[in-house]
Amino acid sequence: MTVNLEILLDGFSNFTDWAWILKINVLIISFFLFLTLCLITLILGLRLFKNFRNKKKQKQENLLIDFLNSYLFDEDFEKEEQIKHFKKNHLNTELEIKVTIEEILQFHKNLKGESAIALEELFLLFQLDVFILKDLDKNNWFDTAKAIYALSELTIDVSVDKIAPYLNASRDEVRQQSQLYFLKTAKTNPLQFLDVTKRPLTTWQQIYIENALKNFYEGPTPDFAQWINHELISVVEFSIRLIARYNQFENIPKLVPFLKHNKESIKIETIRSLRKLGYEELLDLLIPNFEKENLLIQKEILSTIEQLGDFNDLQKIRPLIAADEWELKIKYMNIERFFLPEKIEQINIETMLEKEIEI
Amino acid sequence: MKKILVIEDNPMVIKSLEFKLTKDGHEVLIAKDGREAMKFLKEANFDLILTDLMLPFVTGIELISYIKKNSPNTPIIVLSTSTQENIIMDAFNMGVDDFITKPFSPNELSLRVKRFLNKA
Repeated sequence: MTVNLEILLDGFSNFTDWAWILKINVLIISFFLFLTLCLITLILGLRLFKNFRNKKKQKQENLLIDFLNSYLFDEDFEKEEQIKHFKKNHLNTELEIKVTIEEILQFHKNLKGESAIALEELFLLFQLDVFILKDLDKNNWFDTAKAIYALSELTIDVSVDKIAPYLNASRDEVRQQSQLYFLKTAKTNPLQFLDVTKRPLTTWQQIYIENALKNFYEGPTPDFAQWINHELISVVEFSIRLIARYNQFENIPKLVPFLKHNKESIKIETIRSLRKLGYEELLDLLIPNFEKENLLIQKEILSTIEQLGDFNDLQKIRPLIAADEWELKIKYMNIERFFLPEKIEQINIETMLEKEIEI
Repeated sequence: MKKILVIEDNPMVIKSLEFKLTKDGHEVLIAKDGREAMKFLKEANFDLILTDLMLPFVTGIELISYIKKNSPNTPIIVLSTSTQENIIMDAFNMGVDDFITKPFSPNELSLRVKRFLNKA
């Protein structure tokens, strides 16, 4: 064994005499061996760091659960002194602050009433809003979105200039959070942010805005007609839809001109809204143009007849439906069945005969 | 000391309920899922049961029907995120005594618990 080792060491000492192919092989092996060792060390280091971080996180979470429960439900808890103590000893590192923010948000999400208000106060007493505002200016979109989310969840008022620039951020998530911030903190005119919105509203944003309007905003309902002439089509469609959702009958005259809009989606949204608002003259405006409209709008007209019209209105459409337009014909016949339930059998036979002739 | 069984899987809600109800002077037992709750229900009697509807392993609805079958006089309060009318109606039809939606007010919950326990 000792002899073998000596031979090996001897061989290495004559490295310069080795064939070049052997030298390259040894160099490559050494390089990859070094890389592997570095990688293993890095993985182990990261693992250790993660375990250490998780342990600290868990410790902070446990501390907070006890602290928050005592703060909220224990009448003997000396709030002022304990807050000072917690701030001094447990809010020093970024991790401690982040865990505290998350935990307060988690509590706030599940509690309401006095407890929720107490949590909002505690957030400010811990001066976590200062940390959040610093997070806003970070380059990571997720830090920004999270910061705005925290501010809106806890309805913390900050200067409009701080949040407004994010209404037109490139990431949907950041835009969405800033829209919700304005909605949740607004006392009046919750959709004022639409005035400065330059990017189209996504479907999810529209759903979230509508939900926040319904569940969080407590002020007077805005007049949605303010935005029916907005430069963004998605905002126009959204406003038209909300006019109907909130039964703003006074806006019917403002909606009517949109029946002639050159954008199909706006036209459809207008028909649906006027239909929902029960606008009596709607069919008189739609039926004469039935033939000129495309399939989607024709289907909306038929739905409108079903809801606002009668069998006579439906009959006016019959000669206007092309022979090969089966989608429309089926819709027409379904509405016919709705108007004449006693003649369902006869309508079914007529439909079958018509189909056979067609075939 | 009245005995309350809390069936809930959200750790934060568990801790808060445990703290608040213990502070109010009750003995609180926690079941983190439906299976654990079934075990407790087979082993002991409770003065009140506070349960979520969406639970792992055994759902809240299954638990309610088990409780109503085996100890019909035990008041049940449901604590759920659901605001759907049909779910709330179903729960009441099964004999649930009260329904509290999340987010909830701990003070309000505490009062409702006291009311039921005083009735018993």
